Amino acid sequence: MNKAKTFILEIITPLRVKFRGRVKEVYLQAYDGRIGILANHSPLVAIMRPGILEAKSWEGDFSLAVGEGFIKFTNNQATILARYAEAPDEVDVEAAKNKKAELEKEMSVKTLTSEEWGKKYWELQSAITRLKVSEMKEEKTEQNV
Amino acid sequence: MSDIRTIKRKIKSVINIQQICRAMKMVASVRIRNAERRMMQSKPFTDRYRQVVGELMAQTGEVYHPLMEVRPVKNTLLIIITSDKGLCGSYNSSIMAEAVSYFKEHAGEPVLIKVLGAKGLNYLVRRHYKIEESFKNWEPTFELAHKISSEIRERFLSKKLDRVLCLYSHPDSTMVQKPRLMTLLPLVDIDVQCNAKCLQISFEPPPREALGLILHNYLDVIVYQILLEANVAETGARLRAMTNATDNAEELIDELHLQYYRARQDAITTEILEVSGGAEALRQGG
Repeated sequence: MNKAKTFILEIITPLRVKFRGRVKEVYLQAYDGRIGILANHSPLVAIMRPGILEAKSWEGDFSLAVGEGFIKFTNNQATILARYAEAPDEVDVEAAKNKKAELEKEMSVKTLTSEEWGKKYWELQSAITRLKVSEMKEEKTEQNV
Repeated sequence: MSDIRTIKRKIKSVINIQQICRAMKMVASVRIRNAERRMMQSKPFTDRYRQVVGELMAQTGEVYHPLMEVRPVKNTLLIIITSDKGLCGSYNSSIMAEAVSYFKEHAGEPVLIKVLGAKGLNYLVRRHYKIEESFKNWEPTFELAHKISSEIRERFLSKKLDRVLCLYSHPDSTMVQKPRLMTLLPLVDIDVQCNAKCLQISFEPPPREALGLILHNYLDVIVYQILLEANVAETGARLRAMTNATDNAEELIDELHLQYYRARQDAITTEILEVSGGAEALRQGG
């Protein structure tokens, strides 16, 4: 294992420390777009939007649905503090589907202020991400079969 | 003697109560393990969050945020966290005593009140306090913390509130709880620590905005931690109350048993006396 090309990644949520270990690369949804981080990245603080986080390590890759939060990368150590981080098999698909339908209905109303709409938009993204991530599991199991 | 039967009945009912208390003690001891685990698991998050906020403020030299603004206090909001269910000893009453003494100290000021838990609500309603909002059957979830904190945050930012306090019971250890009054807003407890190496950090979005967003969510984190701590304190208080109740019942049963034996012995003695007295009378008569 080439340690020089890896960095320590910590993913912490209010519920638990979701992940702590060495990874090669990580991709996530930052404030205005997706960013990728490799080892020896320059110091960075980025606000995260709800989205899919992909990490690649020597042991294997994994994807998580992560909520709002931020990432701090300093001294080759990344700390992600997010509202939630769910692996494909942890997503509550039913709840996410309901949430999505509900939000889509609410957002079709035209009286919303742009602020309200923005808030709902990210909530909707969060539901969509969860669904997307949960589908990843199914793909994987199909491949396994 | 009918006394024997009464004592017997009493013993039975005390045993029943003891069984209930013991069962509740068992439940509480399982719950406290869960509650403590949850508190410990969220600790890395809150600690790290606090640390990062302090570091970032030091490194960017950005030490002001509207949420940290200290204003002359006109409107105060007090959030009181109590339990929904009773049988937890002095848990609620010690919190309410603290609350009442706060109200007495700040008699002239307008204080808005929010209550979590039915016990605190009932107590205050009975004493005719005006309550702005109450939550019943609350669970220590991040959603609830988010709901509470986003509301007070908005009202603080729009200057409808100048100070937000929270009164809750803090678990000093599993068995010891103490009411604690904490200032939620303005944010005052951030220690801005400067790392020796001040790194050139790039921000996305720009520092002021990014820090704003991070601080914005900081309150959620604090409130969540408080909810978890209050939950641990409540369960701990219940565990202690139920342990005491079980022990007391044990003592009571012992004492009642003694009384029972004594009463029975009395009855037997009286009976023997009657029989021997009767026999004596017969012999003398005959």
